[in-house]
This record gives sequence, structure tokens and C-alpha cells, in this order.
Amino acid sequence: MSNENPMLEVKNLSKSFGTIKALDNVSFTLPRGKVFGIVGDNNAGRTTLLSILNGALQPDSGEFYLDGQKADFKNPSDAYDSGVAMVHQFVKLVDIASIWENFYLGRELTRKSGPITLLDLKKMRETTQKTISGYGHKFDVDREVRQLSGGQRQIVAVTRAIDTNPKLLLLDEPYHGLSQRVINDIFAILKDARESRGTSIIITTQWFEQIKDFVDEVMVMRRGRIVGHFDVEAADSGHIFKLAMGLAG
Amino acid sequence: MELANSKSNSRGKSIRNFLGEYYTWIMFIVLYIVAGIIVPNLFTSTTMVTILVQGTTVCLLAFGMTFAMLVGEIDMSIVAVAAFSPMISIMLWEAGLPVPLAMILVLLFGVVVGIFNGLMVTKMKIPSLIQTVAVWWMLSGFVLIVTKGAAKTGLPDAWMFMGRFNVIGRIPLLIPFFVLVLILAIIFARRTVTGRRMYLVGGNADACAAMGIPVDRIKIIAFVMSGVFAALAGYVLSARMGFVSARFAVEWLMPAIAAPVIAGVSMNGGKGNLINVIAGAYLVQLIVMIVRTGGVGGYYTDFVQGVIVFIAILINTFRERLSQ
Repeated sequence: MSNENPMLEVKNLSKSFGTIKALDNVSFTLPRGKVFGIVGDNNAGRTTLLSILNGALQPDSGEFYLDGQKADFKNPSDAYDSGVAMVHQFVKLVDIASIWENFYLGRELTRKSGPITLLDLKKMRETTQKTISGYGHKFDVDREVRQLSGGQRQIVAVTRAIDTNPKLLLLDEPYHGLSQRVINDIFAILKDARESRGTSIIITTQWFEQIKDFVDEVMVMRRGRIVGHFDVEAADSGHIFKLAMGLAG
Repeated sequence: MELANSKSNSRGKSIRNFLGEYYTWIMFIVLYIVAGIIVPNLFTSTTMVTILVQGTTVCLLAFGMTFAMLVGEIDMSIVAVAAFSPMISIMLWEAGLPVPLAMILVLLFGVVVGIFNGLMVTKMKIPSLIQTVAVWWMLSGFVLIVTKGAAKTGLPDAWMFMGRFNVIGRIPLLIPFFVLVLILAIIFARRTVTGRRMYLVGGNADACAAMGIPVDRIKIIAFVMSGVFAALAGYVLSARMGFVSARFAVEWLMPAIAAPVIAGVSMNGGKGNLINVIAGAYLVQLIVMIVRTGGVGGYYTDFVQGVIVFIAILINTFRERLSQ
């Protein structure tokens, strides 16, 4: 029955910072299992939008519905509890903790030991190793995250977000400053999640070409507003670029 | 041949890692041996037991301080809690409260002060240094008001049982109790969800919040731990000494900060091994004792202690920088 609801319905969201309208009356509907791309330059409002959906910011006006339920997120924890996972442009990992600890951050595995519940360190370590090598990456999961390259960090962040089995996965330019090879790896992981789990995804970018093969629909944002919304087959790169830059009519 | 080589290499490496990890213990043992050459009787069992027993106070305070430091905060109120909790409990006992209840009340005061500190730091965003210094002043000021500065003697026997009843030889009951408390604290920090989360929150609170960890609650629990350990330190000291006073544990504040820092606990949060904090605490205890009994004149003691503690911290800081 809940399957009749769209995964996400955004209605008239607005958000200002001082005199700057970061988000201006944004509405759209993300059907279940679909992947939306958001194209826009740096102050288009992409990050503000995702931050609201992720509970890090609260809108000035407007509302959104997650799986038919009105969302009232006061912080990222609320969003996480409702099945929203986000991968940030600058990944949020605990640098001085190991990979497996970051992988299970906030959802630690435990085992009963008599009357007390203790961490199941062995299982967390092994499962992390298995999951990450399942994607073809050979990390020693005991290493501290600060010892990893930018690409490795992002792979940890993306695989972790998918492993939480979110209903809605938000990715804010998850390829910032990464090599093409790592970007390909990340898209391979995302495609797998999409096909095997049917995760609904919103992904942002500055360059439409980057996400063209991955998304179903693309929205163009400029100065806090959605200035274009296309099926990916109907989308023309040149036109989208002009819209995003404010060069088209 | 090559295999054997790499095996012995990795064994050498793991021994080096082990020695690196527990460096504070090595510093303690080395200083003990060196001091034993200068100070007479340091290797007699009597002296060793004395150091073991006297060190309980600074060790419990240092454990409390470590929990606050793990989440990236500091708790300066611990020495006031160590005086306030037993003092008020004893006064309530004088007013008719049964001893067991008074003893439970000691811990309860630690919990309440911890919750108060934690709430102010997390919800009101007061820097923990300011918050806990204010609480330190308030609590020790309050104790001065109610005692008019006089120490309390004549504590009930049941209260002092732990400090006066010897289990084996000259080792009082409080030592096995103390060891048990330390073991439980170490298990809590290393093997429970809440304990590990203190390290993670101290490492990057933002990243933890994004993954649904209730950061404020974890910090409040850390302050409760430091409050409880401070109260325990106060109780153990009173059970051992047979009195409580307003200026009870004040001299142990600096050692309680120095011990975790010597042991490599990061004041930025997220790093610290409680097993090393034990060594750090006993190292500081040893320094204090050497200076007092080693013929350093009265006015010089604080200065000399300060210098030695500073050198110990310096050694550990250099070692950590080298290992990175």
C-alpha cells in the first residue's frame, strides 16, 4: 500500500540565508526506485536542497513527504532514522578511527555476553572486509581512515551509505577532486545498489555529462530555482549547460 | 628463508608496536628503578603497597578526566566533586542518614554534577573549561559555607571499612575494589557501544551526528563518568584517611590532568588508552612521592614536581610525533 506513494514529494521548499534566497519555491516528485540528477553551478542551491532533505537544515517554508509521510527532520539523525542516507562532497568520516569502525558508525554490531551487551568487533571487522572487497577493493580495514586516499575515503563513505539500506540516497557531488578511475568505481557501486536494492537516488553535479548514463531524469537548478526538468533521453547537454549558466532565454 | 625472515620481522614489528602502545608503562618502570637508586626503600614491599594505595586517588581522578577528554572536553570540577560528595554525605549521615545510603549518595552526587555539566556544555554550548571551573568554585564554596572550613573526622567504621580492613598483608580491601572498578571502566570504554562512541564523538562529532549517533547524550554520559569517578576518588580518599575537608583533593587536580596527558590521551578528543592512564597516574604519584621524600625543601616541591611532569609530557609528545 505504501508502494503507491512516491519516494519523495517536495512541495514549495524555500530557504534564505540573510538576503540570499538559497532555495526558492522548489517542488518536484521522485518516484520509487528512480534516480534524479541535479545540475547546477556552485550557488544554485543543490547543497541547500540536499541538506534540508537530510535534516541538516530546516526550510523557511514548504514541506516534503518521504514515502508518503510528512518529514519533520530536526537533525541528520532524524533523517537517518527515516531511511535517508547522504554522502557529502567532503566525506564525513572519523579520521582517527579504523575503516571498519567508520563503516559501522552509529549502527554497531553487538553480541550478548551474559547479562551485558558487548561490541562484536570481529564480526564488524570481517563483514566490512567482505563488503568492501565484494566491490573489488582490497583495503586493510584495520587502517585508520586518515591513512586513506581521497578516493578510498569516498568509496568507504559510499559503500557505508548503501549498506545502511536507505530508502533515499542523497549524493552531493561525490566525485569532487577524484580521479576518473575512482569516479567509475563509485558509479559501479551506485549502479549495483540501484539494480539490486531499488534504492531511490538524488545525485548532484556541475556537469551533466558526468551523470548522464546513470540518471533517469535531470533537473537544472539556478539561483535556488528549478529552471528545467527533463527525461534523460530528452535532455540535451548544450541546452542544460546554458540553463545552468543562465545563458538560455 | 625469506618467509622466516619476514615472520621474525613482523614479530619484531608487533613487539615494537606493543612497546610503542604501552610506552607510559615503560616510563613508569624506568623511573621507578632509577628513583630506587636514589630514594631508599623504594623496592621494599611496604613502600610499594604505600604507593599502590596512595595512587588510587589520582588514578580514579585521572580516569574521570580521561572520559571527559575522550569526547574532546575537560572536567575541572572533579576535585570539588571529590570533596563535596563525601562531605555532604557525611553531614547527612550525622543528621541521621544510614551509612549505606550515605555511601550511595556519594556516587549519586557525582552523577548529578556530571549531568549538570554535560547539559550545560551540550545544550547551552558553554565551553567545558568555563562550565566546570564555575562548578568547581560553586561546590567548594558551598562546602566552605556548610563546614565553616572545618574538617570532618570521626567517620563511621562502615564507611572506613574499605580503607582499614586488610585483605592480605597490608593491602586494604579498597585495592581489589579499585582494581575491579578499573577493569569495568576499561571494558566499558573498549567493548561497549557507548564507550566506543565516546572515542568516535571525540574524533569527529559531525561525522557521528550524520550517522545518527546522539552526540549530546554521549558527551553527557562522559561527564557523568568523570563525576562518578571523582566521587569515587573522594570516597576512597576519605575511607583511607579517616577524614574529609573542604580542600580535600585540590592538590590532585594538576596530577589528574597531567596523568592522562602523559599517557597519551589527546586533549582534542578521540584518543586515549585507559590502561596507559593507570601508568600515567602512578608515574605522577611516584614523582610526587620522590620529590617529597627525596629531600627537596618545602618551598621547592611544587616547582620540581611541575618540571618533572612537564618533562614527562614532553617525552611522550615527541615520541608520538616520531611514531606518526
